[in-house]
Amino acid sequence: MECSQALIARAAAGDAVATAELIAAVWPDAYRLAWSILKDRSAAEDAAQEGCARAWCAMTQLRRPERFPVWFYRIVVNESRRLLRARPREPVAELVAYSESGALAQRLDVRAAIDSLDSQLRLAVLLRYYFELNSSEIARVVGASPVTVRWRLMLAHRRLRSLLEEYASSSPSPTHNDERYGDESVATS
Amino acid sequence: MMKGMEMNRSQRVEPLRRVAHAYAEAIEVPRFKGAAVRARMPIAAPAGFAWRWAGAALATALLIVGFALGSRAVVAQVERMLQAFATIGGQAVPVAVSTVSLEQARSDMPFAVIAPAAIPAGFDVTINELNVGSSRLDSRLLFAYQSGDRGPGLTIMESAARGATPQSSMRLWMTQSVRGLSPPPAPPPLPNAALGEHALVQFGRNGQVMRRVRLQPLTWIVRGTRIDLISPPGVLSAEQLAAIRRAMSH
Repeated sequence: MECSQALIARAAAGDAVATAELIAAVWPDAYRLAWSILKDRSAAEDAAQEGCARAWCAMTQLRRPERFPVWFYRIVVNESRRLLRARPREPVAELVAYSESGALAQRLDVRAAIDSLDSQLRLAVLLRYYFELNSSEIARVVGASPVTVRWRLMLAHRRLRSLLEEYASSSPSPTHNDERYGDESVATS
Repeated sequence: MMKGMEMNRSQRVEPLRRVAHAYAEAIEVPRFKGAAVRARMPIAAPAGFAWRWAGAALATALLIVGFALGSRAVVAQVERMLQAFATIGGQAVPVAVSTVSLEQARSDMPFAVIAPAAIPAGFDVTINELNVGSSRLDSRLLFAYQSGDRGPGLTIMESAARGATPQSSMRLWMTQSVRGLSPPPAPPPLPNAALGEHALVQFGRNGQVMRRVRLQPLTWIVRGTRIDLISPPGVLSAEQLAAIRRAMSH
């Protein structure tokens, strides 16, 4: 989430301009979360807008601004799940347009692999490795225990193993400082 | 050894991180629509508006939904059962009511189903198909938005712009039981009720009409589908209603 603590604090204090700016800044996160659950553009936009509206209304109730990401993601996840319950899920065929066939093939592999996970595993993976929450934070967002979250991450890792091996063998990216998650472990068999 | 373990963990985690980023970054995010988000934010009901008795009413020709409420006390649980009756040319016509999902409705309805959009937060929706008589062209789709145990806050009805039966000759009557108290099973005589009129109707314990409020619906046609949008006064602002109409006009 790319927004400053100062902006969040001003929004939580009731600054309407800061709130509007904050909601606009977190919109992409909201949409990506909603889409990963609903897999439908219009439903995801609906859920993300709904989540943003709820967060906007409840901003001044946020007692600890540093918890805004977890608080906000939880609202969006709940809205997405509410919409999902109201309709049966259908697989969505989407086109990814790229000029380089290599990049296209790779992205389709990634999308297919992540999409093949069930929604709980997919959500855990995104919250952990894209939104960079730890297990306790993910647990608060999805309404499960941290132990359950770590189990889901382990399962996801197993199921994505072959794809991950391809990524591991391609050109390495800068090592990420993982000290924050020193208590985490990703088990492999 | 600890350093080795940390490097191993980092090597295992880094590909997952890259995969997750690749997946998330490939999701095409639509432009942020601040107005649409603001339109979803609920407004407070004006003081004095009697929510507890608000029975929502809709009309194609004339369709009334009546709520029978025994008292104005707040209740924890509201059991809703929707029934519908129709008369065409004075003759009773069976109406089948079924609760469906949006996808089922899209498959069933003979007209293009326009998904409601820009609906403010705080409402739960129930989607009902009303299949009237023998012609599917007379079918109706009802999106009923309710908040807690209040009456319908917003109702959107969709139908074929050109149904098999002229709208002026059909009268639909929908009832909803609240806490076991049922409105009259047949439309009560409502003096001076005009065709196409919409109304809120409150019934007392004895089934008598206690109060009726006329409503002006928003009606428009898009892609061959007629849309009627009804909301009791004070529930949604004019801006919110306009936002819904704009969002459902293409």
